[in-house]
Amino acid sequence: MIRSLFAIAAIAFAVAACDQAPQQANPAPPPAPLPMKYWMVFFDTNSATLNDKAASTVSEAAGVAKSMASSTVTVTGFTDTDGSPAYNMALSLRRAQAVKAALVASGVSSAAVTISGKGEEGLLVATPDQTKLESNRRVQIVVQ
Amino acid sequence: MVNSNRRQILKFAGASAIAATALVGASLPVAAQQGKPVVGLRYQNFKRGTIHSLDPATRGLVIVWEDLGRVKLKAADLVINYAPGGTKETTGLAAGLRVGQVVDVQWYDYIDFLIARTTPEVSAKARAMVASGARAEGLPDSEQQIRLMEQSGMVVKTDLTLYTIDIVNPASGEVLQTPQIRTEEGLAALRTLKPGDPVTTVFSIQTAIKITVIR
Repeated sequence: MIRSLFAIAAIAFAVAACDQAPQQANPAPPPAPLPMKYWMVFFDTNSATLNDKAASTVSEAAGVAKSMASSTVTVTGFTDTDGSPAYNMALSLRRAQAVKAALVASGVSSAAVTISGKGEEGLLVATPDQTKLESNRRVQIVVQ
Repeated sequence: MVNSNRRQILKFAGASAIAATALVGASLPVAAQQGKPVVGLRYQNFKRGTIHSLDPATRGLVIVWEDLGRVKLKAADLVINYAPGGTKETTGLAAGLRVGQVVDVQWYDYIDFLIARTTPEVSAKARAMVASGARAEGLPDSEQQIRLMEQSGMVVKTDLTLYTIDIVNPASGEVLQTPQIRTEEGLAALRTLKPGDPVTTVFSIQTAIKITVIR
């Protein structure tokens, strides 16, 4: 009789245990967003030469790029609206090339750097044609 | 079930705290004008998460919320059980916090205190605000400081959907995005800004004021 009672109790426990939904594992925490940092360097009129401040900024960007595994660097040159659009397109590309050269000189792999020139497209500050403005004479460096 | 009950309790606790301090809050704007900036109670959050990391040197911690995302916080002095790995004897009320613990957190998000075109007066005001810090509304007898930070430079982009500003730091050339602007005054200022403008901003940093260990 006692054995029967134990057996019934054991079955009851087993059934009760089966009835409980399995505990859900805690979902994995969401992945951290892809790290992305960006910088801007500015140029003198009609120049693709990095001044000391710009060189310092590029050096900082290079340091970050080297510290990130498998980082890619996107370098985009821009100009103000002074000069012809065709000339400015070439100038913006020269600016981007100058920044890439400085990044590579600082130890960033050349293959990791993509450059482009936008010329007068993408003005930071909208201006009429033939307007000199430093904030538009820039290169944007994105590291991610 | 247990979790949802606790959430209810937290909600009620939050509502009670707000109700209990509503009368106190009535005098705070004057105090704010005369002294430290005040982080308003309406910006207080209650949430459950898991401690991802601790930085005792800065009283920092990273919490991964149960629902989504993670947040980096500073523990105000009010968080008396912060001491990582401490014991009830060393921390007073409860054992110190440890990585992996599930905790209920009472905290303040970033709050904007100043969004303005840069002038010498605005820069001086920002410096004074950062030096003084802010205090939490609802703690009238407390000088528990919530740290403030300044971000200044040239506006690169304004986002009227996310309510943020991308600012290029004039010293480093790095472009940083501000936290979300939340106050009416800040949003009004945001709408007047455009790329190229010099801007000065002051935000409070994300701050925990109470952390309760659940398990």
